[in-house]
Amino acid sequence: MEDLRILVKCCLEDDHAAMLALVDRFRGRVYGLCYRMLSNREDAEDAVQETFVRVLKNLAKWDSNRDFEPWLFAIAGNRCRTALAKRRRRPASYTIVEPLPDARPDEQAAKELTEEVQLGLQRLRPDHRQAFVLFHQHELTYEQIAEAMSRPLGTVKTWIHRARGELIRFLQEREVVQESSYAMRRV
Amino acid sequence: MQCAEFEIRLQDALDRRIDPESDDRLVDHAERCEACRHVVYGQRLLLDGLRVQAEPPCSSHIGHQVLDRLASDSARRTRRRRLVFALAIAVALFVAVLPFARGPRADTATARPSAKVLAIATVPQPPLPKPTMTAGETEEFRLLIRQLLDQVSLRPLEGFESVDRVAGKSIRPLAITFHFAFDTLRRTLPGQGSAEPTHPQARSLRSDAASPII
Ligand SMILES: [Zn+2]
Repeated sequence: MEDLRILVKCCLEDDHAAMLALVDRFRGRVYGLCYRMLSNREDAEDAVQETFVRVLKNLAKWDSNRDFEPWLFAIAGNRCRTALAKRRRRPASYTIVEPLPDARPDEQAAKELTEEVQLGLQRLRPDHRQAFVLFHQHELTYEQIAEAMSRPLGTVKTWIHRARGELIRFLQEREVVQESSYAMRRV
Repeated sequence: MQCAEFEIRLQDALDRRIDPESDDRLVDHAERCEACRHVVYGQRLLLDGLRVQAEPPCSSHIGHQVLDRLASDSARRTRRRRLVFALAIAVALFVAVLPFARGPRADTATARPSAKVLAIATVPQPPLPKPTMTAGETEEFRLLIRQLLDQVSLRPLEGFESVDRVAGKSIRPLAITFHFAFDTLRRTLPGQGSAEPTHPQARSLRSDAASPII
């Protein structure tokens, strides 16, 4: 956290190397969220770029006594929702999920599962999807997600529970969850 | 355990990032109840699907693209600020010279009211405030304004030209517009030698006179 504060301080002094370092440090995680939200590489990269432009312009507003990531993901989430709203206004049909590169046969099942999960995520409401991805993929706490999304903790919790339920129903409908083959394992 | 209790307990385990299959009570129920077993299985698949890196890698050029965007945004803000500054100066100059431009006309061109009008207008007028400048000071101020107008109307306005270069052909060039405005003001000042007006379209600001006035 201390090194992050120093990095931010250098960015505020218009140090370009520090700015590049800040983008480099968080671009993967921001891109992860944007790709999960938008399911399209180009749109996700645009959203990442927009996010960091806003982050660097508004860096002075970040309260250094608080976590950086919820603040960062709040901006990224807003950019993604704006991109989704623009997409809804676009009349043309849209590629929902980009296919992943071909995998070896033993990786095929994992690849298909990942694509199904991504497809299921697209069926969720954007705010449910964002909360779910921040919890399960980015491992933010409920408190951090509530802060990032400016919503009460109870609301965020309900959204994530609903998202889990809807995704499991989706996987069942798509017959990804098959009845006969599964036995419980005690861990 | 009933299915409803199972559901709550399962969500609680997931909220605490605990594997549901490490909870004996959940496993006991799921072994007996097919519907809940499917939920546990679905949950496991879901988390496995998320754990695999789904997204293609993010471009490593993002950082430089962000810096380029910041630089162009900053340049655009600077241009806008310059334009506002130039307009503010022009307005201030215009306001400053306006009373002097109107001065002589008020003396010579205003018609005297007829006796009838004077008779109707019976409301007594308050006395005019005394001028705060002496005649000598006023004359000195007038000379200064004239010198200033001579300067700005005899050569193109450099500040505006830089704005015009940016604006391109989207608006009438500000340098030309303000040049003629100042030239006209200079000619209307009292005591100005040349009474012959110059038609705006007959003049060009540029020595090569290559580009027509838009
Ligand atoms: Zn049950």
